Amino acid sequence: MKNHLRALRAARDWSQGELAGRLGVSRQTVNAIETGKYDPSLPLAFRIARLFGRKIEEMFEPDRDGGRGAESETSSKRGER
Amino acid sequence: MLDSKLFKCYSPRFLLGVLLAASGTVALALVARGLERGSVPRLALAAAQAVLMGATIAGSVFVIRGLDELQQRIHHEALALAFAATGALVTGYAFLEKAGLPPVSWTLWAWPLMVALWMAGLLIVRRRYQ
Repeated sequence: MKNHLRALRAARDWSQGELAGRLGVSRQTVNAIETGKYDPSLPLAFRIARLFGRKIEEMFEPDRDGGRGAESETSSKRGER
Repeated sequence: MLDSKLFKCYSPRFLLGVLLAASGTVALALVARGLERGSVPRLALAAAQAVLMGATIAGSVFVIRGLDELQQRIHHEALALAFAATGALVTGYAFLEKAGLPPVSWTLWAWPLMVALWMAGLLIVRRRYQ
């Protein structure tokens, strides 16, 4: 899933640690979401959207493959081999 | 850089608890040595050791539940890795034992091995999300 978290965070001049504190998660989690290595759970995604005053679909959008995360994409590629 | 929250299991409070439980287990084992096998006091001491082990497990679960969702996921993956690796090592060593290597008391060493592999698993799995 793609997201606009990094841009929105930068627009508010927040550090990853500051955003993590506001969301109640670790800085590593914020970094993993921003880099697309981890797709947040639905409750966390809603918390993120609420924090930035946006709709969830404005924060996150599916990849071209229909929204499967980076991990499932990798495993499906493995399966194709 | 290590994420302190991921390694919350290493927090002084948790470590102190584990250290106390481990010391208690060893102390009880030393006391039990002087008692007759099968006697009620010795069996009671053995039960107390099991309770300490149970408390350690409960403490670990409590700490993991306090982590955020990604940290929990990393711990779960690391635990799955440790579980599988321990099984593979124990079974693998059983074959080596049959081939002539000295026997190992897995009833004593399986848990420390699993904990060590859990920590190794954390270091491996967390790299995936960096």
